Amino acid sequence: MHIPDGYLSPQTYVPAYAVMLAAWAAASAHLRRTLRQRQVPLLALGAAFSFVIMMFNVPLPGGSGHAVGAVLVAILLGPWAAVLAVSLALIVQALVFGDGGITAIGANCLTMAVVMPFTGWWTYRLLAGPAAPGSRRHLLAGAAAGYVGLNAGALATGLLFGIQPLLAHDAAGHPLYCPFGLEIAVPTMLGSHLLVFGFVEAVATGLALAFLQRTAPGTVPAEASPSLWQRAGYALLVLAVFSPLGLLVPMWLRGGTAWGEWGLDELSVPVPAGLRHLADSWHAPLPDYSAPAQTALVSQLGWYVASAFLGSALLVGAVLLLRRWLTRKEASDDRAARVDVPLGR
Amino acid sequence: MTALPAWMSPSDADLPALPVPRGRPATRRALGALLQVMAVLVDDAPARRRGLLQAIDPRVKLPALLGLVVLATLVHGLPALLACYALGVLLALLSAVPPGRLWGAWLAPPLLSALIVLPAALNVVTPGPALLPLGHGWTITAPGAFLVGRFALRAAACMMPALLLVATTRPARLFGALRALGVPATFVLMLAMMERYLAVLARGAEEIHLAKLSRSILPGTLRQEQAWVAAGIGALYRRTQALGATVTLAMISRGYTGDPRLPDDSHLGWRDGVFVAGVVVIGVMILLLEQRLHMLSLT
Repeated sequence: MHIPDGYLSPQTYVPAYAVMLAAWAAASAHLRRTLRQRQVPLLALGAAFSFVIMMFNVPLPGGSGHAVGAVLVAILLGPWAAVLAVSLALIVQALVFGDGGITAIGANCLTMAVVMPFTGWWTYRLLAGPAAPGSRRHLLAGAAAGYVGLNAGALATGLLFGIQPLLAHDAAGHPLYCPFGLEIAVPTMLGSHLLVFGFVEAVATGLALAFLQRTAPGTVPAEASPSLWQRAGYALLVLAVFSPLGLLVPMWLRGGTAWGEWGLDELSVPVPAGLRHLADSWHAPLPDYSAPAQTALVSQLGWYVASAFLGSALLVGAVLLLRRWLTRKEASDDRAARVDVPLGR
Repeated sequence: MTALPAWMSPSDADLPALPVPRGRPATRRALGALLQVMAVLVDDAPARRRGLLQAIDPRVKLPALLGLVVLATLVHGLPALLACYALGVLLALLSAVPPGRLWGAWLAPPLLSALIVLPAALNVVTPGPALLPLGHGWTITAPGAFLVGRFALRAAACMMPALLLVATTRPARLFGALRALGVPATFVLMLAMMERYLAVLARGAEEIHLAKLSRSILPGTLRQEQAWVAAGIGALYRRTQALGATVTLAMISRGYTGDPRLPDDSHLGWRDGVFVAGVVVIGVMILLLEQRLHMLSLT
């Protein structure tokens, strides 16, 4: 899953660095609240641990493979600590061992230090629920989290590879970087991880948690059951992942599309000139929840999921901003009231 | 006189032939990877050699070589990419980097990258005039071959400066140089500590694997082997926790208050200035070459 230099376009690796800068800042801010500055050595050692985990080979029928360990680190240290620990491990791998590109550090950290630990950790919390640490449900949740987390990381890597032909191509339309589109890159990345490496991660995560629960019961932190907001977040995540069903089911049932949903050309009645003029006034950046000139079904499904995540993120962000503005306004009104009332009396 | 127990009788001692595991066992493979990590961490001989890049301050070398990697991702013409690659080879020769260590940068990246994108050379992925017919309607097309060649050359041109940086700089100095790029001191401190204790944990993992090898006559069942690997990871985590607590206490006892203090590096010399100027001039020349060839192709 380590992306080397030269595989990604600057249009991809620069935004990936920007996203990671925000993620590192958020992780540092979060850890500053929960960890003391003096615990920096613990985090550095955690990073070294996440590096060495990758050296352990897990036997499988017919061969073996190494685990990434990001989900295990997220469960043991928390997802924000995992963001920093796995990022440090990936940076050392790139700078000291030449494993993974330097320009691709942002992209590699995004897939393996953000997507993987957070997806795995959410899966773990969702499945483990309020069950006692060390219970069978907890351990199965750990294994499932490892499997889901690794495959989410592989999907993200496949998406990064797959969007290269769309983002950067020459005048003849030939890709300048990774030449395989979403319809090849995503199934290739997901295939090997869904069938083989996901099980390596599941075995390593689940059994390591079982060992730690058996030998050092306090090591695996017990989590409180998720709050209402967290449950809503999980539900949103699941809905986003399954959003392509909205595309596949009508196709399967030969139901066609909603009348006039996608454009004026679907209308069989004469369209007034004013309406036609208005229809051309705005061109959406992702028309029909897909990239322009994408016809392959796999690409459409990928863009459907990406659109679901993007749309949800924009809406949640807008609501959070609105809430922040309203609560700030409320607080300033309260302060004004506290000052005004005594003066009025 | 006591008779021999039944299990020691010659008939029972004729054990069936031991099953020989096929392939390289996971334990030995992991041990090999750990030894490689240890070798890279311990071996700083290339960084000690007398050469061009070794004489350059890492605070200058890091941004300059990083700039060359970025340059190789920005240019698209074969001559410009070839110039980037040649510059990397020249720097490697001037820095007396052992060819054995760098062969991975000279040949492996282009070959591996070409192998990965080889299907893109086929007419089913990249249509165009046929270059090499393969039969059954499959051909390697001219634009496909060009695409694969450009991709492989770009990968090689990008990886060369990155591997030169790794080969000619000691990790501790490299992390210190990250401060020059504006990386926060706490982050640099964590990187430096991680690199230092990586050797300790890698050694711990090596001991775990060696202990397993020395105590095993036969490989266990798949389930047993998987449980052993997980136990090894768990044991290493417990060791990490204990080591982390010890290191924290040791640092506090030596006056660590939470504010990282990194050693001040020496002043930059004239060599560093000349090196940066040279890299900038060559980089601009490569960009101009790219632009010029692009204009010519348009006319």
